[in-house]
Amino acid sequence: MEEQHQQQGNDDGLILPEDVLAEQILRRLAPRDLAVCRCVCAEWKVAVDGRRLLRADLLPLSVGGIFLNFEAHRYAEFLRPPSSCSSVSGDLTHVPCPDGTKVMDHCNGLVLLDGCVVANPATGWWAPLPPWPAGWPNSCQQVAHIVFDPAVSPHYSVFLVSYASLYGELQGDPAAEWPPSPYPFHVLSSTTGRWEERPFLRQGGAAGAIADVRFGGERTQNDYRCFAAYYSKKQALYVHCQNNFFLRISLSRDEYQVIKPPPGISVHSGSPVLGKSEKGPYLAAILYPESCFKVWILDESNQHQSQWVLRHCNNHLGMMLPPCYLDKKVCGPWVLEDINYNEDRKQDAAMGLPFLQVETATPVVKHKSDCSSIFDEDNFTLDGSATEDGTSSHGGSCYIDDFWVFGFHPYKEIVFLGSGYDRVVAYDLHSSKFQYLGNIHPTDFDVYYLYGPEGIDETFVYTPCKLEAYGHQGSAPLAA
Amino acid sequence: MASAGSGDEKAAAAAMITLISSDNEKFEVTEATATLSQTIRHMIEDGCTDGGVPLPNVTSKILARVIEYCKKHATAAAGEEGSSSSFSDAAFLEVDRAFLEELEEFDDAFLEVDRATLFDLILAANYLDIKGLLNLTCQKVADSVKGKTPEQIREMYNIVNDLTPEEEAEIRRETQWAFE
Repeated sequence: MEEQHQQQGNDDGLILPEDVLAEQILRRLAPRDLAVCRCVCAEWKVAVDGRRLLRADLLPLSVGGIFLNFEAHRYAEFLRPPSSCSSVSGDLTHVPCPDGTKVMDHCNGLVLLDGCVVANPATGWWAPLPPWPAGWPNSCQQVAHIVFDPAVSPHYSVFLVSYASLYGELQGDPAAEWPPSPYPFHVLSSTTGRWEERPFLRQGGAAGAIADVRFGGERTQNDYRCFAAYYSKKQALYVHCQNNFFLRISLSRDEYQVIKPPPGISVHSGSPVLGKSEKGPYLAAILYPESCFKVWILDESNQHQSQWVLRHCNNHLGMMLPPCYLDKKVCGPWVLEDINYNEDRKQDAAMGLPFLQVETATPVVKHKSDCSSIFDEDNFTLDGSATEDGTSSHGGSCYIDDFWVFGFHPYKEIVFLGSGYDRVVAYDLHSSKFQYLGNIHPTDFDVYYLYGPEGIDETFVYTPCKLEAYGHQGSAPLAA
Repeated sequence: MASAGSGDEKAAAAAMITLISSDNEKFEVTEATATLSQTIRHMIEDGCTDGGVPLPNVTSKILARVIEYCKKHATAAAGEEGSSSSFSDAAFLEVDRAFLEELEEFDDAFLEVDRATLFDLILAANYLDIKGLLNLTCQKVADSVKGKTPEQIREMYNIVNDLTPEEEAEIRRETQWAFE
């Protein structure tokens, strides 16, 4: 009788002491599952909240800066929000990479560095990747993509996508279809610490015959800024291929699908920029000479054929920049960390060279609002489709339209844009208005890199993750 | 640990303990098996096991399963204790690995129980303080929750949702990122 009674008791619900439920069961769960468990019933919510099991504050849920790879530099530069809003530095000079530490990809707080190291700037942790599989050039450039979602798992993966058949006339049969099926990707999982070749089967049609989608000798790999975006909800990695096609790689099913570029974007167009934002994968492009700004969302409602749908169109992207932002000495509210300048001066000092005293800029344009509302709509005040009217009624304002796309805010429909190589602004798709973020001109760039290239290659919108990734042979986190 | 010193290991292994379930069934087990339970280990250390150990919170059905687990793992624990000293015998390692695999298979099969039994095992493991069994059973429940929605979890475990729709909407809003 007693036995029966106890069984019935547990049939009626999960009858467990609170400490067993919280400490033995819920504590084992990843942040996303804990967030779900909070909604199950009042008892579970108390169990999660009472012991602070869910540390959403450690998750990469806010924008903590932008990484910028200046062509002339050795280390990635970092534009950071006001120090009152974020304490995370993008200085990765402590990571021992022989060729410097340019950021080659970013996903939810982990960065992939050119020396083939995975690093977490927010904790100081880093881990070298194992030697690359045979046949790959030992560089992450444009082909390596990191997949990481600490809300689900502390493990990460790195994907290598080969575009070899798209280059040169001699490689491959021009009539063969691209991409091939199966498409062999090399995948590193931090669970095993090993590279593994995994064949992914194509669902649906190919992009076309190799002859139609390759470049021949016209452009080199380095002409492209091709990014990838990981969308955790769908367990899919979206890769922007160098011929402007896109791959939707399903990590759970080892399948992929080819997505065509939107109308107006061809194999030979300049690169649009892919990124994850509020509703999934987005694509942004500024088409010149009209400065026509277009943003598309990927519509995946048709399981067999995803397509880009126009989300935003501004036929003449431009802004009148108030005079206070025009002085190169004026910076802020976001500030460039000047990592390369500082590192160079340290080396000069080590060699006994005299220190060239320069005025260091201090932010004079301050944020008026608190940090949590930086990207709220009312902070976007500058008109986003202003035209140069030729009158002097703007009191010295300057008309700006030399924009290019840096990337997306991962949770809001906001696009980060560079204006030349000098300034960064944020653009709100809802209001079509701008917010000025800061100056990105490195200190004395013209003095020290006079004959070097002045461009910026990759840019990554960074979301700090203060949870530790699980890695092989990683370094210990640096003391805070 | 102290009571099972290596000197009188034989004597300890031979010592039998009687466990008495809530429905008054008696189970004779070796001390090595019984002391996987910290609760019973303390009782033995305090010398209060004469005449059997009454376990009023555990039914005979569940106690039989718990003893099955402890017997298997007591052998494993004895093996581990013996091998913790430095050894470099490859053959021994091989045997060790085979045994660990067998133990894993045993654990997997052991977990093939209905939900009510699983929870009774958790309660028993918690009450008897058997760390390995508590880990094993709770991990099974945690795994079953992974990737599920609140509705699926409630259905799976017959949990009544006592939150008002407004409260639930508010809780979801607090962690919107998890529901995207």
